[in-house]
Amino acid sequence: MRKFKKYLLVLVTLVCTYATLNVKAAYTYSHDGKIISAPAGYSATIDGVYNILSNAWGGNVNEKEFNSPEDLYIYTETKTVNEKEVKEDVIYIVSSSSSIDAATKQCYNMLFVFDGNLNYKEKYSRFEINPDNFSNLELSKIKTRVDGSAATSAALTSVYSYEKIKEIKAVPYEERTEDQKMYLKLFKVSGVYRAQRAKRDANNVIIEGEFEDLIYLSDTGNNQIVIIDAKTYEVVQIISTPSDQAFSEKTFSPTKVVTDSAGRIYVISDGIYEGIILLSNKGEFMRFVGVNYTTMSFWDALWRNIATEEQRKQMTSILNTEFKNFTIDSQGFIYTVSRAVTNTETGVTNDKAMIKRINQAGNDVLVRNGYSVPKGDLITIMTGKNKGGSTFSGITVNEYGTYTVVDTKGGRLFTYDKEGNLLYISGGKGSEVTDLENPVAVRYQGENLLVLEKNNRVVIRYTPTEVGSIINKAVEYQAKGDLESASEEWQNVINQNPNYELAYVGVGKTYLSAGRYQDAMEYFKTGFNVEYYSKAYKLYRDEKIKKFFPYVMTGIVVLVVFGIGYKAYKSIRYKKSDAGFGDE
Amino acid sequence: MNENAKNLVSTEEKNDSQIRKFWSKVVKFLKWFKEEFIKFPLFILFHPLKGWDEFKREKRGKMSVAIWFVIFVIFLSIMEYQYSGFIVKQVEVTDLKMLAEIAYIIAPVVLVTVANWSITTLFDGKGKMKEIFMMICYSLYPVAWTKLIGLFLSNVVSQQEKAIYTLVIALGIFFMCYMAFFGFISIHEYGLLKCVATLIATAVALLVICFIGILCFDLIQKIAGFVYTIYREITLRYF
Repeated sequence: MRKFKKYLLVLVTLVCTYATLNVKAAYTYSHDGKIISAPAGYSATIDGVYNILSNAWGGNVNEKEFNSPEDLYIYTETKTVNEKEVKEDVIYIVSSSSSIDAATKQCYNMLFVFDGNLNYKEKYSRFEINPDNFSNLELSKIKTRVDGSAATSAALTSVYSYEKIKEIKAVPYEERTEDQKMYLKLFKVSGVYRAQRAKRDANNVIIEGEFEDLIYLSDTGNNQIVIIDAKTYEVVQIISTPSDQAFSEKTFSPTKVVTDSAGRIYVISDGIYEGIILLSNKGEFMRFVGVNYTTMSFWDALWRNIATEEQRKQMTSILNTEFKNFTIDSQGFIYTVSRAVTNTETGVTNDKAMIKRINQAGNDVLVRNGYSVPKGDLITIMTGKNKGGSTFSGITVNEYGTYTVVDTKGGRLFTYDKEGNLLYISGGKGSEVTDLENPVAVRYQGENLLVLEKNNRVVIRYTPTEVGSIINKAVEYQAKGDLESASEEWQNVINQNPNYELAYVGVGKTYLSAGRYQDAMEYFKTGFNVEYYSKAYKLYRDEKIKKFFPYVMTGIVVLVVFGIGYKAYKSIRYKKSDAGFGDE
Repeated sequence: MNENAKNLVSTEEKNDSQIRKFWSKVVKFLKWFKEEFIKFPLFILFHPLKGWDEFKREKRGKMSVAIWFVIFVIFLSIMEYQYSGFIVKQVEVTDLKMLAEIAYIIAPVVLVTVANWSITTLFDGKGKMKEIFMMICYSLYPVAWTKLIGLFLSNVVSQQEKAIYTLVIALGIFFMCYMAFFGFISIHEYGLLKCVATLIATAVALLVICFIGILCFDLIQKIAGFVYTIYREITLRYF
């Protein structure tokens, strides 16, 4: 018996430790910004972790090549196989390096290509340039990496001289030897993007029905955007520093690139505080988009007005923050993340616009109807190394407007719906492989999330938890306008987590449309939504007024009639008595 | 008529007279309440100079009534936590701090009284401290009413009509200031300009009092800290 007890004790402690090891403090924020416990929306298991050791990569990627992964992009290819349209995901990851590896004397700036399940397909360290397709002026602008004693950026024409290029051009392409082929090497590559764009003829007129399938690489170290063909991986176009006055004193170091349906190119560049650079498909500068304004308080403005010219010069110049990352949705809205704007003079931080949704006109149109503004963590550490609010490094948006941002400070994923409601918080820092220490990119792959972790050099697939998938369904139905199905899902969410306030609003909305105003009011009150509560209350009040108005009005009319009658009666009596006694 | 019946009649008469006495007391109380709590403050509100004059010269203002006004306002601001409409106030009863609510009302009243008294004694004000205090308490009369009306309104307005509620509350504060301003003029027997001047001085005095208060608090904290450190030193060294 005693022995049995001993084993039982061991078993209990084991179960307990297992439980405590697996419990991660998942939380969310309540309507008044307090931390409440809630299950995470997404979680990762060891099966969802991909790195150089995993079978899917098959040892084709070595540690040096995958030294510092910078960006991940998922492109959905539509193929026709046996007259059927099949959608296939292609995943691109770029890894950068700025120093020469001592053993191999190489500087690894790689593009990796994986299929949808992150099985290794290809890798590229250099891209062929066919000089036939470029004019001499264009070639003179192109830069490439040179691996000497240290990695440097140099003009392509200094590596391959004009004479040599002329020589190469003289030989037909098919007959060129490997020595005669020209290659471009990336330097500090930090972004990858793939999109189709309409093919244009020599006069820049769109050829209908023909598309170019292109991969855009932001070649930060070479100050250029390299556009390569998605099939042949041959350089198609290079976008160097735009010849505009705006760039006369600045260096053009693109970090992230997206394009819209018209083929215009949006670029985030390091050290450019004016906003997102909008370029035409030819690479000509058009304008800045989505400028991050610093806010100046009334007193700042007053003080600046009073101050003399010299004093004003002494004041630290107020800089707009730069964008960190962005993505584009199917309707052409650009979702951006940037740092909180801190006014260097007053020390006041404005973190209201860290996430933006920028429309075609360049204005921020993000809906912020949630309990709080989408800005990641609401309660933050005040002192120490990790003080301050969330700093986002990546954003992704799915087809029904739900967007997820990734925070490097807490290593967390914050998911918001298109109304700006915080849906759930997932992930977190830690020492497990599935934890996020320094996430740099996040992408939706259907319902799943792929997160690129820079420090641990892994790609982590986050899958929705039970509650997470129900919430996703509810939000999807709501976005599609199917309120009834949404309400059912929200009810399921409440059953799983009664503290989930947003779900009550979701259920309340169906009650509101069904005409059950009192129920709706109760649900909106629980969900702390004043706007909808007011709507429900107004309808409820109208209903009550309609019901009781006839009775109340009749009562008032009767009273008035009685009053008048009584007065008339009294005056007649008074007149009678008056007549009886007569005037004095 | 036998004895029993006689007794019965007399007790009946007795009961009757007792009830009547009680009833007359109730009526008297109601009359007093109406006069002191409704009519007179209303009279002051609509005839401020005349009203405050009566308040001071004929000693019509009563301390008990003044304190009751403060209690009303405190009571109503606590009631707001429980009974305000959801559209107007999204506070929760769990957030209610009773002592803080009391302090938010009493502290300004007492502070303004002290500040104003200390200024007006230097500026030939005729008002006594008790009068100033009572006058400020009486000025809370419109606030008490508007809070009550607001409490009802908050339950029947929608979000678009919330402005009505805000207007009512703002009116209460406006009328409070209006009453208090004329109160200062009458009680200290000032002219308009001198009254404004002393009020500005009162505001400065208020700041000074707050400053000294915080200073004292800080110093006491430091002294306490010092004593505690000495205690720790001694205990660590000798015990």
